[in-house]
Amino acid sequence: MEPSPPRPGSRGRIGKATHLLWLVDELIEEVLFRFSPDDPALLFRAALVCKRWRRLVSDPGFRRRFREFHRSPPTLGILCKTVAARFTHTRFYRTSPSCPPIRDRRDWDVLDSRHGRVLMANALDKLVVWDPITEDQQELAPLPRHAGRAPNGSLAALCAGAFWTNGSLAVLCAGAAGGGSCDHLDCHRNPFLVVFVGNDSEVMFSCVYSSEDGTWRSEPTVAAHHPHDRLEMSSSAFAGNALYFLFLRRTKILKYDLGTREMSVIHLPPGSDGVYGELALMTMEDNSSLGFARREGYTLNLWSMEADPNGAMRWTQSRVIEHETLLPVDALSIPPYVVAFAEGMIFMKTCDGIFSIDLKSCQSKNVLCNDYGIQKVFPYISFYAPGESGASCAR
Amino acid sequence: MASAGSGDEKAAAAAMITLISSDNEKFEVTEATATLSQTIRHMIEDGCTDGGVPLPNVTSKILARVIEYCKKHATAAAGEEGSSSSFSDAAFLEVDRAFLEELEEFDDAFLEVDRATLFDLILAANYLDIKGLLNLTCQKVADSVKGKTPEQIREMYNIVNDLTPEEEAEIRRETQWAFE
Repeated sequence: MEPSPPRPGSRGRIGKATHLLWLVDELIEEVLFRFSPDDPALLFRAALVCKRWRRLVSDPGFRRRFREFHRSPPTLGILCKTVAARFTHTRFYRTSPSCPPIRDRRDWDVLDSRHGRVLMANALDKLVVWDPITEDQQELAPLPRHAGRAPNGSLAALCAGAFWTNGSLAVLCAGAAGGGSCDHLDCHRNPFLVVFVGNDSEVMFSCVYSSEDGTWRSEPTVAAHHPHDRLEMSSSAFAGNALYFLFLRRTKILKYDLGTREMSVIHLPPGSDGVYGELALMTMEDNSSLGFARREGYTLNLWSMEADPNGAMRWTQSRVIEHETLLPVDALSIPPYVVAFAEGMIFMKTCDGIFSIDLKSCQSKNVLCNDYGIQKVFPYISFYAPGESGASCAR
Repeated sequence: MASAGSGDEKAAAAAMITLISSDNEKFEVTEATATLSQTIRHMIEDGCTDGGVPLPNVTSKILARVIEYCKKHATAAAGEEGSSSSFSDAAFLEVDRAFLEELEEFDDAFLEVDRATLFDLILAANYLDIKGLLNLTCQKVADSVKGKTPEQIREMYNIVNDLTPEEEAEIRRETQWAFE
């Protein structure tokens, strides 16, 4: 603790003494920790109070402690795949009280987002992982083919959901696989993995890209039991040590275990119509179990996978919520689509734009009035504090 | 907290501790109340509370408030523990909710103090290591900063701006979005 007396000629108020509280770094930090992480401007404005505050908020140690205090990163906004005049773009829309500018990516198609990274593809079959906070972008090696099997057609066709294609991709922090040593509080610069899973009439196949090796590793194929169904692009959830991908008919889920690198199929309880926007996979609050939200008539039904007394996993319907209690009547003139899930929040697309629904409070917010040709929505979840790349406080 | 049930612990809960403020005022409190402070808990464990616990960093005015907080929260904690064994789950949840609501109302009323007192409470909560009180008071200060400009924050808390105009301009330029 080193109290800095006001120097002669320093600006600001003089006369009234500064309270001892504001002379102890540790206690100023205690106050700053309690700034809401979904309003990152608060910390940036704090940097402009005085030298001491600027030094505190820009310190890497503070950044780490701030994250540990809050535990889970906030949803800063949504990345949307928008299609206008046959051109695909990825656009960011802020949903938090404040957020640094995240630029639109023209001609890039967003495929997935997790642990602060964004997986995108373009019409030239290029696949990249982009970090909107640090602005780092890494191009991936081309997706391999499984002995002439997969993926059928080009990556661009796959992304566009062409009927002859058959696969899905997901990105995640490499520290999440194999036991999960990473807490994902500050892992933007750590290695990442991209997982591809696909199927055709005979087999299911998978391969994993590691940013550390810079290569794809193909896994042995598995005999398929669902010849007339295929995987839906951009529908993954990460829970426990596995990735889950939705089949297009929405009656089954493919589970990819990151530890064993094995695939298996999980059936959903009956009730799916197999239409777009009907269902979103969810990671439950414990981060280790899977759930899903399904639109059934005029209700939103929440299911989660729980162990029965014998230890076998089974689906349990945890909640049924009437759409009317969630959304304004005007937005319900046509049935809303369930488009994404993130951190206790469901995103629904209605004729009045996109709404976020907090599942705890059941409060909804119109985050985007018009849907601007939006086809897919990916919540972008990350901390953002001074001192990060592109977020200096002019030290 | 001592769990209800064992005779020894019940006796300990009834034991009294004397706290002595910086202006030499003495406060008699139960051990259950005093041990919400980790600092005092360690002193009790080390057996150095005979003849009272001097707290040279806390005035009687602030100590009285701190004790008020600890009494309320110690009672609530004891009540919760007692109820867990004698009520069915549903009844327990009901009691639990009532406790939480009452505690929340108490906390809200407790925070109705002037800024200097609030800051003094933070210093005391930190010195005495009372997690709940530190959280409550720091959150109040953090919330008061929301939506305020750096100038307003300095004004509110009498903080002297020692940044040069050049430094200020640089920060504003680099993080313009945060000031829009």
